[in-house]
Amino acid sequence: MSIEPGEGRKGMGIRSLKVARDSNERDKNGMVDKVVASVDNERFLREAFSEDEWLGCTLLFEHYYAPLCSHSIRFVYSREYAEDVVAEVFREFWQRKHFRKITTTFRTYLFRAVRNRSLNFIRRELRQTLPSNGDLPIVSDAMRPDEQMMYDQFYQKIQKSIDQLPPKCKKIFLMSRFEGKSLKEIARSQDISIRTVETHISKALSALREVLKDQ
Amino acid sequence: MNTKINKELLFRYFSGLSTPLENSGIERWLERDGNEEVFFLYLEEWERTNAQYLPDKDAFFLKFRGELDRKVKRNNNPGNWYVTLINVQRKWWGIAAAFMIIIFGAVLAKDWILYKNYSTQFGETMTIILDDESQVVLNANTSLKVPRWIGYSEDREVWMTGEAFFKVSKKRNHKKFRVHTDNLSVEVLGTRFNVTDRHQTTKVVLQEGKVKVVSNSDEGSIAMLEKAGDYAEVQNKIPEIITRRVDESLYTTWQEKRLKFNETPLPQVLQTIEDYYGVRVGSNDTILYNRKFSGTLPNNDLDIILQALSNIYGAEFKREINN
Repeated sequence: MSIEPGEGRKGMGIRSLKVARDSNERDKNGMVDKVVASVDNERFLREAFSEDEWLGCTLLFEHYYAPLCSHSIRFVYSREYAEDVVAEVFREFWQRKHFRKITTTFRTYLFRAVRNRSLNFIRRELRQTLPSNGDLPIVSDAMRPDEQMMYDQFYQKIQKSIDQLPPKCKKIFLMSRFEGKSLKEIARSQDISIRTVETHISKALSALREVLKDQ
Repeated sequence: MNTKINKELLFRYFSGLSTPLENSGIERWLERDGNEEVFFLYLEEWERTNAQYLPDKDAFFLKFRGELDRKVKRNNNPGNWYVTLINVQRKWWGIAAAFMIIIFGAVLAKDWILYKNYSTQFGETMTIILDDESQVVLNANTSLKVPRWIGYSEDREVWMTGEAFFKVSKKRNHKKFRVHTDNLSVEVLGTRFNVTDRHQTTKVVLQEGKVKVVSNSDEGSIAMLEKAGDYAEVQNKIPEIITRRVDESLYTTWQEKRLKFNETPLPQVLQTIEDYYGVRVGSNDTILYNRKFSGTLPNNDLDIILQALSNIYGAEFKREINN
């Protein structure tokens, strides 16, 4: 299971489909099969788009909605916000007809856009000024690997800082953000005052702010 | 130092468990053309296998579609024209007014231009074949509104009150077929089902295939009917969808000019007859109203039904004269 550097496998776009299939003979490790399957899947979607754009979008969103929400929530730590982020990305994709312009696969476009927006979202929520003086562009054509990996480090740090919260504080934060419970409901179910719930949540949020400060 | 980049490593990396050395290996690997696509391919797989939670896809799509539909409608709204016209210079007002009249006329006639109405009288059924070869059988006292240009619109949508049985033809391009009533919408791909929309309650019974029932209230509850005999009911102003299993033949034999009942309270049997013939019926022996009725009644003549009921219960059933 490896992709050796230097094997000369260029872009995994549609055009490289044949290349990937040929090398399949030599490379029986499954990774290539998967890439081929995924290219086929993307090609199917592209065909759907050429037939009917709304149908293409519907199929595309159906396919990626769940994994995109799951990825976004690692950044924003709230079901509601994650779903808002993904909906915004879809809305823009459809309204500005991005599917006509993109040069990457749909998957790469969507994941990049969701990562970008999620990070902007949580920064805005926690009122942090950005080092780059403004939101990152929603989709840039090429992204440096270290920029790309910055996103992964970011959500991993968020995860770590939440794991390090005191158990009660973590539980209440997750109830509020993951389960979407109101302060009142949490207070009642935990048998504590609303004020205490608020304290726990603001403590969790300030831990997240610390993570952002390092960015 | 040649780090092998594979699924196992990438998964560890996504979980934050890879070493800094491995990370720099990934960084160098990512610089190679095309590897970013592979990176996201595995990120997707990782998210699918390590999902943080499972979002409610149906609810999202319902909202998303609705939102875009609304947007499209707003763009076509003649109200926007009005605002523009007000700003036109005075001498153009006459022309503006003429335009207004044309637009107004178009708005009024729009329903007639865009839709065709079918309706049945009391005691009458009607079979309609739509342009897409779907078949609709209307029961008595039922009306159905269909787009005149059903083949060209995005999805196939019809509106109804009363009772109707649908045999929807499957379209190759997966256009959906939607039946709307005041209380709910039924969304299908190709199937057979019965819809009753009477007395502010809508009931859907599936005979074959698969349909999605969406309540029209703000909360927009959803029920999937997947097996023959799956039943959904929505009452006016109540957001929840009631679902249960029923004997579908009870809801579909009306097409064969028979009414089938199973342990049905007698007042409900009479109600069904009233809905069909548009008259009030009753018995002089009201104690009977506590009884339940099982069996099949012929349904081509009111007098025959009433005679049959009279024979069964040994009491007189007849039309009540009112108004």
